[in-house]
Amino acid sequence: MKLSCLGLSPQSSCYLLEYKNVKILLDCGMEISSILNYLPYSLKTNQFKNNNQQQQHNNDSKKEIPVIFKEINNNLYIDSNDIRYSTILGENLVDFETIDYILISNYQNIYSLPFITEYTKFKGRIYATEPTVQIGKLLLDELYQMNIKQSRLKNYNNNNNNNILQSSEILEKLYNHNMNNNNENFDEILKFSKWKELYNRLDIEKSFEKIISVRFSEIITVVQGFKMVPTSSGFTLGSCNWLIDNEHGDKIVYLSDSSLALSRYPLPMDIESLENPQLLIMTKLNYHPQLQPDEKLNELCSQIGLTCQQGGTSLIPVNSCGIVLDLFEHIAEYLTRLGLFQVPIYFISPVGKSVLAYADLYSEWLNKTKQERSQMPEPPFLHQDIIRRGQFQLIHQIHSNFQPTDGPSIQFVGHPSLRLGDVLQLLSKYSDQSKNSLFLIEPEFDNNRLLSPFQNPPLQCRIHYLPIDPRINFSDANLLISKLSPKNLIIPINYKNYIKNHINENSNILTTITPIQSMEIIKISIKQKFDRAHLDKSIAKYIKLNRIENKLNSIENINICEINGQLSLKDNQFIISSSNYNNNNNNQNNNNNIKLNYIFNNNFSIENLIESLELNGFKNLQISNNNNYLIIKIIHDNEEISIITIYNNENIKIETSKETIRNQLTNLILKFCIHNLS
Amino acid sequence: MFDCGMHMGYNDERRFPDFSYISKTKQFTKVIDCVIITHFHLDHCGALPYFTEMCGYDGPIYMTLPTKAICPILLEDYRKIMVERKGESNFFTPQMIKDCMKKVIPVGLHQTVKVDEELSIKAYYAGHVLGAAMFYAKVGDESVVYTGDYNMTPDRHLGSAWIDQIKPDLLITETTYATTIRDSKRGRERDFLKRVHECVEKGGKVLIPVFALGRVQELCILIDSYWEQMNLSVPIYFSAGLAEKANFYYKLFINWTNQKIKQTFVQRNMFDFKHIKPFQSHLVDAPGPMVLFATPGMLHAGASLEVFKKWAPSELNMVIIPGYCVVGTVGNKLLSNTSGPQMVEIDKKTTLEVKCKVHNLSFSAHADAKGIMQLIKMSSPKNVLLVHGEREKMGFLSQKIIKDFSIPCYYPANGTTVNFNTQKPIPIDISTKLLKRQLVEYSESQEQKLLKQSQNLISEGQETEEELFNFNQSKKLNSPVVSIPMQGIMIQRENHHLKLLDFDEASKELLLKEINLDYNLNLEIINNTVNNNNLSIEYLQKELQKQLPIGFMITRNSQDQTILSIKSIQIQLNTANNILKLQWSHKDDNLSKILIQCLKSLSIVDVK
Ligand SMILES: [Zn+2]
Repeated sequence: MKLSCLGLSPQSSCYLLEYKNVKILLDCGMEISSILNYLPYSLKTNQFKNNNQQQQHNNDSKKEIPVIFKEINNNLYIDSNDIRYSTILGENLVDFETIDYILISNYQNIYSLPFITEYTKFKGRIYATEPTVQIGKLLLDELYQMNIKQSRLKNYNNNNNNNILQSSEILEKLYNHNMNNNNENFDEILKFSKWKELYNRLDIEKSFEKIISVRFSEIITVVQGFKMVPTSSGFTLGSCNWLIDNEHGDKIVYLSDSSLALSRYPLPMDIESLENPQLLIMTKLNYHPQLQPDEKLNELCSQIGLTCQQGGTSLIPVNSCGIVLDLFEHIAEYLTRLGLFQVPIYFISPVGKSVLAYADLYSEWLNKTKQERSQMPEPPFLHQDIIRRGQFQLIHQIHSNFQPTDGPSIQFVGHPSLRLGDVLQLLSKYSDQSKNSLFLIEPEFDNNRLLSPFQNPPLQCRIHYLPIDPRINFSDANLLISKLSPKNLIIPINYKNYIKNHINENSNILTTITPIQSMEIIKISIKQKFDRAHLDKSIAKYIKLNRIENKLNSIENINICEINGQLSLKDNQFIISSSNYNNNNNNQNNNNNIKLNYIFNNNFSIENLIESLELNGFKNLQISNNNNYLIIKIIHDNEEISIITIYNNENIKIETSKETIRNQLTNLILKFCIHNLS
Repeated sequence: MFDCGMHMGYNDERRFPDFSYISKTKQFTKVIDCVIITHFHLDHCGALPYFTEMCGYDGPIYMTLPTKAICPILLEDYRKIMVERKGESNFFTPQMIKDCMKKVIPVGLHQTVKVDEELSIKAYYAGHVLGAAMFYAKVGDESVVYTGDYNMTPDRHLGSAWIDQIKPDLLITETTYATTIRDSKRGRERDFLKRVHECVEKGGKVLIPVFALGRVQELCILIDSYWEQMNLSVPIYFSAGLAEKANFYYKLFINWTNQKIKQTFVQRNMFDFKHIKPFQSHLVDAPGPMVLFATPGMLHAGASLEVFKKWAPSELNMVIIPGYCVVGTVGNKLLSNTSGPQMVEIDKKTTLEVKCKVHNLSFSAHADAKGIMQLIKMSSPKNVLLVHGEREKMGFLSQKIIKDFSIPCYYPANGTTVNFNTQKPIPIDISTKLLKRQLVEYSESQEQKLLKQSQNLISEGQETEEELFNFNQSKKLNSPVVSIPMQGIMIQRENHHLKLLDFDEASKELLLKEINLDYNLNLEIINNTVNNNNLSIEYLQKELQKQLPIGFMITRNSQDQTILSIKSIQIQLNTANNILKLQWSHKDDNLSKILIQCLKSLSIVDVK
């Protein structure tokens, strides 16, 4: 079994698993935080123009920084609105044609799928849960819309972008300049990563058509004798972990984004199904393991409350599906409790309406309380109620007639990277007043990198960095590992110092931990001892069982028998049936299965053999002991000689020139053996 | 237990199944591992509260989420009619329905649920009504599919039934329309719309008695989009209460409807009807044309009957009964004579002159004969059992199934038991080591060409050391090997699976010492012309190979060209001493016997 890591970081989760000669791609995420390397377009033409000229002037002598780069606080930024996206690594190395399956864990890890299905020779099957497919498609479409809207804006740097950005030199410059890379494979990564132009709408459409949707606990049977099963991961709508399993205890668990928080909307994580794997691949743990999501949520509420009370606007850049499904209900209820029910909550997203509509449909994928609401029948989420009360409004996009109230309001808007989408317009609108607040709550973006371009002029509004990450944190992960007690554990190298060695209390299994990094291949030997086969009627009726004694336990019945048949594969099962030989003894030419003769020692000893030889007329024996060899020379009447060599009571060799004598001697020996078992 | 239905035609104890067939001592929980309900129709779930709350069954109950949501509403509705209107006692109470439904475990489509260590079940989409499912149940290597009611053609709001080719030992299928090949659905729809349109055009009122859930949603979609298309303004009403709630279920469980509705629901939910409004009782006397959907469907009570009493005397009006009516109901009486005006007894005191037109339109979604055959083909069962149909028609259909599919087909009478012979291959755990060895041996004998293919069969390919980043070491061939020889030792021990092991493994496992018995046989070459002139190692190889079974390759030893080898056997030609030396181990004794026989028949050696 082999695992290769094709993701740049846990964020762009992508692993290639090779098992039983089947190639399975686990997730295909996108390194979305790479777009933080771009300058927000709203800043490009105004605030930084002077700054840029100055810098160019300063650096004239060096001429190292091309026009397209701007340096701010020692970070390089790309000044272009034609954004390129960092997709999975090693695309030119992996032969996608040989990949049999792609398994998706949730909609966050599907952003590179159109690159694979539409731009490579991939022709395997893709599995994802139904909500992952629906919501994923909406989110990719949203990204596409934001991207196209932005790239259509006029920008002076667009024309020469393509050539420059694809050059790995520039990437390297950016990487070296901006990141502390301690990855040993850094050079390899640079070689194999490529930033790409985003796919188009048709690509998304065609790509998603190829996905086969599945439900939790739906078993996908693979011809090579194993099954793949998605199980609930509790992280988001339809999010799953994947179980790869067979009847003989090979069990591989791919654990992606998972959440143990019980008060959240998704169906809770299914832990039981994942227990005792041979291999656990644990990826995508909490980005902010030291923070408690509940505390951050409470702080978010109280800060929103304060902002409202001061008449300010709370701007909350978010992903259009995910934690927002927890927040809308929660915040509306909090505001109502404070008596602020007249403060409107806006959800500004081209796909917001659809996301909320789908969320209400997927009651089977939701927690118990929400499931029960659907049986009343009521929509599982309270969004429609809040909308009816006038507290909540869905806005498709910001346009001239979007006129939020003058008073306090709360605005959820994408994109959380602050590089794309309507958030940029709103940020310029609200950031100059200190009564307003900007809440940074999506965990995958670094606070400093998010904000550092926005410094000239500095943002006047209050900024609250409150990342809410419901994923399993390190201490939960360690507990979970104890509970699951895997034999082998593979974790991204970033987690190496936080995941500890365990001896599981119940099973006494010591977990072997192997960290993996980008572009690394790890081999794990899973010692499978058995495969499942079936004996069919044709052979079963010939079976004659031979009872033998158990040397250790005389009470136990053991029957043995030699099987001579042929193995074939029918309906994904190995079938052992009778070979032609059994049916047609005469026609030996058509049989390719000549019976083997096995012999086991029963009560063979040299004394027994000599006694037996003499009894059977072999009187003239010369016995000599040569080291460990015992040699019996049999001198026949015609003075011919046959020799029996015995070594260690286990290896016997008969040397003679007559087949009849050989036969005779063989039979004498077989008397002391278990043989002819068929 | 598949389904737990109620017979709507009886008003005594016969309406519930005779559970004494299962256990005379009422040990139902012991006998039954689980109850599976396929859909919310009362003939499939109507006896469930009786079984759980009054007979004492306490085990698991499974149904889909929509069925779990809708089933209690229909049960309560029916209970009200039976108890409150008909004065039945000995019927389950509202509390019993609630308690019963609490025990229900919802299952998702295609989700495999492990009921216990042995039994697992899986639901497949059945069409028919919202949330209807077919169920696959498996114990060990034996399996059965029970269809419940299903529908093989998609309609306005539901998709068609679908199942994997799972080859169950038994398929139990409903046969409501066992021998009918029904005319096109479109035709019936057109017919329905034409009648309604004609009636309202002339100023008449159309009454459509319906059950709150099921077909009525399909009719509403049909009529709502027709109104839209024809730009009609005649009001359409839906009797309030339950009906609105019912539509809400469809909105919430839109995942269970068909593809088209699912795809468009964000823009427009098909169940948000544009032209259909809630009915208010004063509207019954309002002048002018209108269309009204009113419950219940059989005109035996409630709103539909009240309206009927007012509208029936006018020949301008029309009643369309889109379903089946139980004997004794007003609906049934109407349908028994649709030809013209008639006197109909509403109850003991009231008789009504019915002048309005009466039509029966079957929209009930069951598979017809063609659909049943399709499902059999789709699932490839080993036996078929027909239920839920008329005996004669089932007999006819079973003949067709036996003829077309060459599989046994049964249609037992109620209360009888059918036994099925399921001859199953015996499961055996085959040692991966043995499997690998046999595959490699076979592949080598096939001159390597199958090696790659056969490696696809075995658990782990022969891994070679690869360079880092070499992702493309082998392109794969996917066609499997047809059959390969398999030889090993089978071990049967108490409380263990059967095992098939390699010889070494078997000796280790059973603590048996293997004896390696080898032979060295020096045979004298016969002096004759053939041998003296032609006996070369090449000749020997060629002649012996001719005699050997296919798959056994004699090879020349690369170091010593005078040696031929096959498996453990070595043949050395020593022309100088006139000796042919044969070496082999006892394992290959049978093969060596063949070789010796060949040598003899070629008159090369004298075998004494
Ligand atoms: Zn039905």
